[in-house]
Amino acid sequence: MSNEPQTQHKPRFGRTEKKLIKDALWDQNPISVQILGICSALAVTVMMTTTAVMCAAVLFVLTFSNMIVSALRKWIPPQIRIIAEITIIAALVIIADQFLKAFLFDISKQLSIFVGLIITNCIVLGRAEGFANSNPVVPSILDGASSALGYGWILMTVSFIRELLGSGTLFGFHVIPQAAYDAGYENMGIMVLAPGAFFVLGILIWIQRTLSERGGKKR
Amino acid sequence: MARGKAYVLQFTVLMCLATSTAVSVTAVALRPFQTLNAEFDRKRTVLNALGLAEAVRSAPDRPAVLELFDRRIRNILISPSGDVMKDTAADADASKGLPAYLLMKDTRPDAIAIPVYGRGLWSRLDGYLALESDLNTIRNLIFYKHGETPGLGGEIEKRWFSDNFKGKKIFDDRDRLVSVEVVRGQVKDVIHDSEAKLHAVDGISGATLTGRGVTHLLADILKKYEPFLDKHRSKGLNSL
Repeated sequence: MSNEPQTQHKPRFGRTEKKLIKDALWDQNPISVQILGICSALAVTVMMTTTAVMCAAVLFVLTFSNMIVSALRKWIPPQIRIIAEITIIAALVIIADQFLKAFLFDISKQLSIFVGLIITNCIVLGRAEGFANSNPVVPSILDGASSALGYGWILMTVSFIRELLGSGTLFGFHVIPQAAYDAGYENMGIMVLAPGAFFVLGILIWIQRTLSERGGKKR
Repeated sequence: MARGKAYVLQFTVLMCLATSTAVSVTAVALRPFQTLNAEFDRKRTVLNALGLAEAVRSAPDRPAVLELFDRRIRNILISPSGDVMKDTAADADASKGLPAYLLMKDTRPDAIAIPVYGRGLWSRLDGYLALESDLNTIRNLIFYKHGETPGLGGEIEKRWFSDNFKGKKIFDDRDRLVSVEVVRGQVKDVIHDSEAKLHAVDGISGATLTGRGVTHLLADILKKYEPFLDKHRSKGLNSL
């Protein structure tokens, strides 16, 4: 990470914090720019409800793993740094998974192993190792939460398109009127399959990067 | 800064203690909720396998599904020699006999579901096999718990895989228990005898070993229920 903010002698919420958030959400978006965490982005984006729960789980894990790693950064021995970070992340993921199994059973069943796989999501370890490990707690929390939201908005957009075109529903509610089906409209079968996610994500990355680059030139 | 070996060890022990405590406390505290969920899921699968999927879907909430279960399902225990031991409570001690669930239509049993379980490729598979009252034709086979790879072995939980089993027979035309085999590839490509086709279903591409697991667990479980099936097959479920 070459663009780590220098937080000494700066106001609590200054330009560095704003840049941190904007990078995570837009210019350095973990999915569309860094192309990390694609596995879950393809697997859990068939329905918006499951996607939202997945994003919430990632938000929880990423925010707290960044917070804990940052709080412990002076005590974590550099020799076992990665192992320590993974241990913390794994504990948080198991806790999140246990909560889902207890309170959102059906959705956790649909998410199957993908909540557990947050442990291996490159975004989480990437932020712990690349940011939290060398920055104070508050910016680390901010970085973790914004990275999760950067992941989240892309996934929600993908699942919005996939659920709308693939099932004619949004969050499980029918939005395409029966009249359209009667007139010959059909759901796109490919949208509920993995290739649908590839196409949608590919197009989204193209659009996002084009906009991002254009904004960069103007500045 | 590099630290000494003693410090690294100390840190490791403390970190492991802290994280394992956090994980254990969460798991133990949430277990009652998870047990309820698992029990609900199990009962819902029994209902779905026995053909009440529509009623389950239209049930407004969980208590309604459980009420449907209590109203329509009769639990029985089957002795190793094939006799029905007695009607039992929902949480009967399965070690004393083989559990089964009868779907009641008016006062007569209309179909029977038996729990099936065994090894897939990576994990234990749990499901229910429902048989028509002739104790030969499969009404449905639904797996509700597994840890197989989504998209590959995980397809066993999908509707299309369950649908393949509908109408298949577990006894052959000479009354021998042959169970049903999950073939490698598609039935139409590998089996040409029309009788044998009644005992085979399409495999899942990329999940041959999970399919083999399903084949084996069905054969093993049906073997245990064979005395019961033999004893009651001539008269069907109506004799119960």
